[in-house]
Amino acid sequence: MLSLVEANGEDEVLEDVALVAHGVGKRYRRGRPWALRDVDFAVPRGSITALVGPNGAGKSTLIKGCIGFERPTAGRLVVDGIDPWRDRGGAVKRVGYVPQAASLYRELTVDEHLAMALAYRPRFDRPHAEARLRDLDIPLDARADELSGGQQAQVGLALALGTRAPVLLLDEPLASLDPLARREFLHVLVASVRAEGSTALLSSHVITDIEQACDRLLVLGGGRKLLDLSIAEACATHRVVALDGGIGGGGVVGRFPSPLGEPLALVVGGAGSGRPATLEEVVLGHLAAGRAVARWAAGTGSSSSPGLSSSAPAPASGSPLASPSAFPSASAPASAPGSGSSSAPASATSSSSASASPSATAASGEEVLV
Amino acid sequence: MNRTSLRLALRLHRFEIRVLAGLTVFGVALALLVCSWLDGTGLGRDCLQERYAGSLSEACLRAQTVFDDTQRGMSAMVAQAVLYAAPFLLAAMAGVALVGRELERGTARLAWSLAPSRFTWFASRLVPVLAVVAVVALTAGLALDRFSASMQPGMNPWASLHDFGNRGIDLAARVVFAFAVAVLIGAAIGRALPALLVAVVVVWLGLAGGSYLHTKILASEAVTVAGSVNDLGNLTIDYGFMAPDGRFLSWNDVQGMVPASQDPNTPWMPPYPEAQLAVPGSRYPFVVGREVAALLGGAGVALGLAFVLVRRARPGLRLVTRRVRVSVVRGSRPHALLPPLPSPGLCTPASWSPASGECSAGARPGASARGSVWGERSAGGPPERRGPPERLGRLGVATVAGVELREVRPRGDRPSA
Repeated sequence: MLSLVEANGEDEVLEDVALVAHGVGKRYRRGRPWALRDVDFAVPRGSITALVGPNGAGKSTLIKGCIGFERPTAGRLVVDGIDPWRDRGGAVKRVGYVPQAASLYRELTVDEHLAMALAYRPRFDRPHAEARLRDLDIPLDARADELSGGQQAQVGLALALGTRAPVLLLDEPLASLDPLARREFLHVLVASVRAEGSTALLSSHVITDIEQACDRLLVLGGGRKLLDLSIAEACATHRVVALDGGIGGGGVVGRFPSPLGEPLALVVGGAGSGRPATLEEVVLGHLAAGRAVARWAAGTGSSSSPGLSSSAPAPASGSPLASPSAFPSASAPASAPGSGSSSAPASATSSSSASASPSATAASGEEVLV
Repeated sequence: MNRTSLRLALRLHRFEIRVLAGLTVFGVALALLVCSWLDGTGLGRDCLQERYAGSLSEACLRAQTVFDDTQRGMSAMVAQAVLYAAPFLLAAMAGVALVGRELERGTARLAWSLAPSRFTWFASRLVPVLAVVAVVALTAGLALDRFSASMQPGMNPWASLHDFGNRGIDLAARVVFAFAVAVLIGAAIGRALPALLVAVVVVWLGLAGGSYLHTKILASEAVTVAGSVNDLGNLTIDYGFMAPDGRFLSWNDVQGMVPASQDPNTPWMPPYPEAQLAVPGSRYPFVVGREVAALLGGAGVALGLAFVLVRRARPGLRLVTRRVRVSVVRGSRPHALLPPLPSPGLCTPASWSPASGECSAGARPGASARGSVWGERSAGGPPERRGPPERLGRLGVATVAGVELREVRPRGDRPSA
């Protein structure tokens, strides 16, 4: 299946992406803040992409948009070649969705849930879903309200996997699960995605699990895309330095405290200084950067934050980005060492690429970082 | 839509259906028992005519006594009340739950992510429940037909406007109308209990208003019928007299025509034979058919609107605007992934910064503030916080960015879209 992206009035055919967001914005009501703003990304087919961000970042809104539950106020989403809002039925057929809470019918047994799925979707693979649940020792004759939270989540996942949809959307399914249940859930997800070549977009807060299960990272903050990279690339190109030490040659992305309160900074590049960043630190650094930009935008009344556009060459004067006391700006290498992708680390400054590439700022030869 | 989806739809309403359909069956059985008692008294039309004439034979008097005791007995009252109330209760409870409960519990998200067509989903939910409600209502209506016939010996329920609207297919149509309105209100409000309360009021107002309107229409269609005794078939609008030309004359008309009537000391008798302004019972099929058509039409409109709401619904999302007084119960460090919140504070509109996603006021236990609180509530499961504090639990405790707030004094709750 091809994905179509309408760009400059023409449909661009993207064969290798399952899910595309093209300048997506969402505002629930006029006068309210934007829940999503200018979000561009492309999820490659066959990948498991982690969608990370703080509460209110727009993760659920984005996922609901992908299944046609929300209509983008601006821009366009394409799921497996289908615009979910223009053809909601078509999008639902191509998507397996696991909502935030398992949302099972407490009156129905697990078996009846499978029967219901089959009734709605004649191509629902009931034996496949049943087999997965049997593997997990989940009784099919148990009512949903008799199951534990982890079992309910597994039933939700089995229902989504049974659809055999090419795209799986998982909206914080791990939120209420204990560590063991989370691990089992992710194991089933990863095994299924790998076996069937489907694509998954997994929204979660639990970085440690994401690191093992996902191969791409999409960070949202304040409704904007802050980072869109492969996880390996994200970890390879970021370092963490103590703020009282030297930053080296890297550009500071954002500052955040260690669990012990030690001030740290996430830098791009900066070879030789600090230590390699963990995925959690990469995410924290970019979220801190996103928050600073949002504060600056709120303070100036600017609708488009500096550095959030790939066209912004440098932080505007007076912005926190230009202030060394806040988040000093710096330049970074155009391309990460060893990265096969043309994309340099797409920080908050470089995340608004209109193309399917994770970052278009590499073309400018220099990235503007916060 | 197939048998499985129909069966599962009924499973979702098993409690309401079992209890209220069971109650209806009980009511039918009791009504038939009372009918057999009433019929067994032997009080027939001849006895009634004797009673109207003012002289009752010994046999009729005995029958009348037993009949009256049975008619006023507890069994008859219970049967009538159950048969009238149970179908309406079923309609209201199943109606608001059909969509409203799904939105409230968040199960709509699951169903709508599985069903490519929301129309198919809506139809597969609606049809079996509507069928059950209609069957229960029709059963109750026909039982009340039979009950009325026994309570009024000699009455033909299919050619009588006696107790019109409270029996027969007219009752069934009213119940279906109530069900459709309940579905619409459930879909609009998205929460079962508030929708149930609103639906009861709206249905009552709708049916009362409709009955008033229909009575006005019937009054304009009434004809003059000689005599003052209701033969149990006519729907009497007014009692009065018949003019020589056949016109109906009310008491006021006659008083205006007879000068002696103006003097209270002068005895006078109306110079015209007694008559009624009434809709003949023979018009029962037409009158009932007209009302049933109107009610079913209204029900169809309500269900159509409910489907429009279902099509447009955003599952699991409800914006809530509340005016509350809140106080900080406990401030806690947010999850490590969340941005540090140096001053989460009480999130009143003034202190909330949508852009930064946090509050500017300091949060300390015991602090309190008053103001509007806006937020987003996600049905079921952990909420997604996108804005100032949201009301999460039933205990009036809200959490925003790791700070727990206690709602002290809610001043209203206006859910929208």
